[in-house]
Amino acid sequence: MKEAKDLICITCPKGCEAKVWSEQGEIKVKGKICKKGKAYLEQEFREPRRILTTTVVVKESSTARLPVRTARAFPKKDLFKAMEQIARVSVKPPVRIGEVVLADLAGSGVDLIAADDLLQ
Amino acid sequence: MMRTSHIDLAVIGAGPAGLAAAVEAKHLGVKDLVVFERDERPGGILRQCIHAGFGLEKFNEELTGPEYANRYIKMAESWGIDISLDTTVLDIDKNRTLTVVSEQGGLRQVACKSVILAMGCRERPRGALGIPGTRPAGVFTAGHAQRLINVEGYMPGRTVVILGSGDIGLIMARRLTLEGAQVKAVAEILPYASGLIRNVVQCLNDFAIPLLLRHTVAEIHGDRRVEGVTLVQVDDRWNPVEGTEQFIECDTLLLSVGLIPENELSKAAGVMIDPKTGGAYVSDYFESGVEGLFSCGNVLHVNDVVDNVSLEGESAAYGAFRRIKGLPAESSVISIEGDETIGQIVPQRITGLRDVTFHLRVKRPMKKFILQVGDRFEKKYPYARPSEMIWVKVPGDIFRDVRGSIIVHCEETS
Amino acid sequence: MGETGAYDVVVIGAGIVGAMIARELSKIEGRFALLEKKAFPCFGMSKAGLSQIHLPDFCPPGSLKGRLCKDAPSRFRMLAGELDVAYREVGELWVALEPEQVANLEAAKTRGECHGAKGYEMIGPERIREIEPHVTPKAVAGLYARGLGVVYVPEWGFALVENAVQNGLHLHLQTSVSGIERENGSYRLFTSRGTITGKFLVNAAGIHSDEIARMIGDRDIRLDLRKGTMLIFDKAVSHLVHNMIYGTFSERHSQDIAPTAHGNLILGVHYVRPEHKEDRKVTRQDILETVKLGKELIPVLSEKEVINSFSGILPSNNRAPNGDFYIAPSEQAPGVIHVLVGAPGLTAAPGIADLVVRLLRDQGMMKEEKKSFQKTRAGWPRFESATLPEKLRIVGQNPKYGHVLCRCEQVTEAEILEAIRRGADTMDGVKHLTRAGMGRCQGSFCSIPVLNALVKELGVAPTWVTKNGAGSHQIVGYTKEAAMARGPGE
Repeated sequence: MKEAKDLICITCPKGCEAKVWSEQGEIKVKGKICKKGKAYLEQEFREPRRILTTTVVVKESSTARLPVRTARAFPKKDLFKAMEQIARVSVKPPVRIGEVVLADLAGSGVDLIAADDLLQ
Repeated sequence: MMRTSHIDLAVIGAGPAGLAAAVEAKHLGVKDLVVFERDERPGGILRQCIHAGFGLEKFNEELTGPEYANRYIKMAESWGIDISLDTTVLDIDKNRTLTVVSEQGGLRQVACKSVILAMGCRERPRGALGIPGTRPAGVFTAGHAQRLINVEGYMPGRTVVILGSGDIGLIMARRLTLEGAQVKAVAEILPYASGLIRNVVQCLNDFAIPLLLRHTVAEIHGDRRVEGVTLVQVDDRWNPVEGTEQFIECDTLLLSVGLIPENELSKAAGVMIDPKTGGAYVSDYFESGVEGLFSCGNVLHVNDVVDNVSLEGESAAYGAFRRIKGLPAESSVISIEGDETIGQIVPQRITGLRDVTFHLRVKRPMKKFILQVGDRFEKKYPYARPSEMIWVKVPGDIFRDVRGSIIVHCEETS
Repeated sequence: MGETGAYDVVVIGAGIVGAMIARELSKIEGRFALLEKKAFPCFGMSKAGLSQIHLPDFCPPGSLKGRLCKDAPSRFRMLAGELDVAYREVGELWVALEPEQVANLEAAKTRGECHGAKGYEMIGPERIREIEPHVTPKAVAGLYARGLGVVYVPEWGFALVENAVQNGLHLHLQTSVSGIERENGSYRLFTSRGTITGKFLVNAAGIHSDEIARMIGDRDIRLDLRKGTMLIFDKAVSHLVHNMIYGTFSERHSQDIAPTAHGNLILGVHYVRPEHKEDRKVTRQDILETVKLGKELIPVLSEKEVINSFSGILPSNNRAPNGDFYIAPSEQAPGVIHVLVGAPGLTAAPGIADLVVRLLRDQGMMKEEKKSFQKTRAGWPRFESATLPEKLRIVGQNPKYGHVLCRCEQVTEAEILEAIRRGADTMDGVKHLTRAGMGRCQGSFCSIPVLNALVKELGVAPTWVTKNGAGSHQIVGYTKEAAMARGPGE
């Protein structure tokens, strides 16, 4: 049995606590947890994922930075690897909100997209 | 001679409250409206809140601040709403005449039928906190640091201590760490973090940033630039506990210790301010004590969920619209008072003629309690914290025959 | 700087006193230099004070400081006109909170009158209430005089120096003196910016004047220091005080609450011993003690309305008796004038400048008046305090007056650009000249536009910008430094 982790569910402001462990390939959750929370905790135990939000350098514009975000949750363990990759790129106008700025961020299969319009 | 123009509705601030108000006003049929915004772009504080967590209720999606703002900016564009950027409202008088200035438009006056105040809030600065010590460079309020990093691309420092575990402080702890700074500690004077648990997990625990509860900054050190801070533990009365001082070397101190609704313009117009909220006393139409001046969003009271700010904007727009249309004014004769279990509550006076949604905060964390509106209505709650605003809808008919005031109270049952 | 041509007079220290002296010197034919170790004139202890022009009623009879305060209000009024700087007229109200203190008022009146002050009125509680409705009901008597004033010292320092430079003065900022040698009848000063030579020296270095004295060979000049805490209150409570209100004075405190030139209230002063000359630390205890001083005079005053606290070091010298000023030629070094002053340094500044110029002449400095002396200097319009018709006019003339950057104090882009173009090259320089950053939010909104204006106008990198000179960098770098290093179009 993989060692149990004490986790806090963050899907809603309640912040319920639970013990999560793996038994015969199945993830077990002990604690008062709702359905949505259980799904989060299972993922958090297996492979913690986060939405990464940051900015990217903008060139040829009076705007200095464009906010960007991962299109969906991204592996927590690769956050800094992703930040380094993002630090090396830049964009220039026009960029539309939702456009892919970096595909397959740090080899995760998750795209980095623009979180705002950059029109000039 | 100074030009005076006449419009139906002025909205002051193109942040989430102002934009939602303007869009709703157009939707309701207000023709002649202008949004005045002092920044160079609309969106208000959302421009710099690049983290996710906005829009879960409004759009059923988890959006970043700019994405949420973008939705409303696009709505405003499709309605053809005039947003006057780089424009500062200098003054409002009680007859709803605005004095406004911009580089493009010069100095002019704008006479309005209704005005929606949506100016948001400012941060409590070091000077107001009286943090002892020297006055070097490197002390920033958290929101200021957020704009430096996210909009300007400037790093405020490399080794950081943050005072205050509200959401802004927690978000900045993560942001700074991701950009390569070392956040040595977040100090919080209360015995619990004041921000959302999800932020404590994702911003502090994820990066092993120490959260020092019951701590505050006793002194700032450094002659030219911050060289360190002395943290000290405090007792229940927030007095420093002797002997618990610890020096932490750092080049930056971020202050996340309170937001203050920005009501200088409101006060100039004669709007009375509720000391518990820092914002206007309003009716259930979000009208202030000055006829035709409506208030919503963070300038009314500091909110925690932007979706609610947009809803307030919509409510204020409805109130403003009724007045513009010449619908009969209803007197808000019933005064609402929160007792010592209630930190703050709006609206503070109601007509009693329709359903009302109260927005309130409890004074201290509570478990298993009943929220009581007079002896006419009650609702059970499993828990509540001051940092999470409660919205409770109360049916209008409970106020039948009520005169005077109604006390709102939280009764713990466990 | 390298080696510059020799100066006739070098003034060391551009505090308010040094600035006044420099302006007086610029009325004479000759080569004059003003050295200042900080980034801007009056960035030292001159701005860390109450900024008041008082009557000489706490100067001992027969004292030099008392003599030098003569006619100060009218001199400041005239200078305000010449230099186009703000001078706000207020009265002085010294209150006795107990019958025993009434004797203090009598003594003050006597002292003031012996130094030439006129127009004192001894008044009772009713009249006090009329003049100052919020003063404590405990006030049993008051000494009242009209026609005094308050100023904002950094604005004055800047205006004096600008006018002096206009008239030929050489200004050397961020220039500290580390050694002085005598050579061929002149003095060679070794500074952080190179070597400077001057025939005559004026030691107006304030809390560092003992160090300068030592460099010249005057080893027995010593300064005794006190550190005073002062508080600034939000404009929301400005209505509580109309005049400079004084209470009691001791080694540990000078009880004084007054309006500031730009509409706040300033309260002081609680004194402690500084740990060392650079000790500017303000502790919680200091703040509480100072608030106490204020509440004794104005009971409704609340700590909640404090927007800023700061400390200043007040020196007194060991050469003059009774804590008096010591302004005299050096006993060791010919042609050096020591200016060892303390409070009331601002009030006495015009008088001090006259005396110093006279002493220099006595020592052999030239006398010829400059025929081309330009006695006026124009400031620039201040948007916030302009009337509506004036605002309309200045915005019409310069649209950048329509772009408000500091919302709390209504400071516009036009004013910020003007301050930078005229020499403010730090965040604090812009702040002290324009008031941007001195309001409720203390710069959390406008610091960014000010920083960017400095970058654009001076053509410097954002990381070069400092709060107040070398070492006080505002920001340390940029996000994504890797991408930025790659340059455009990568």
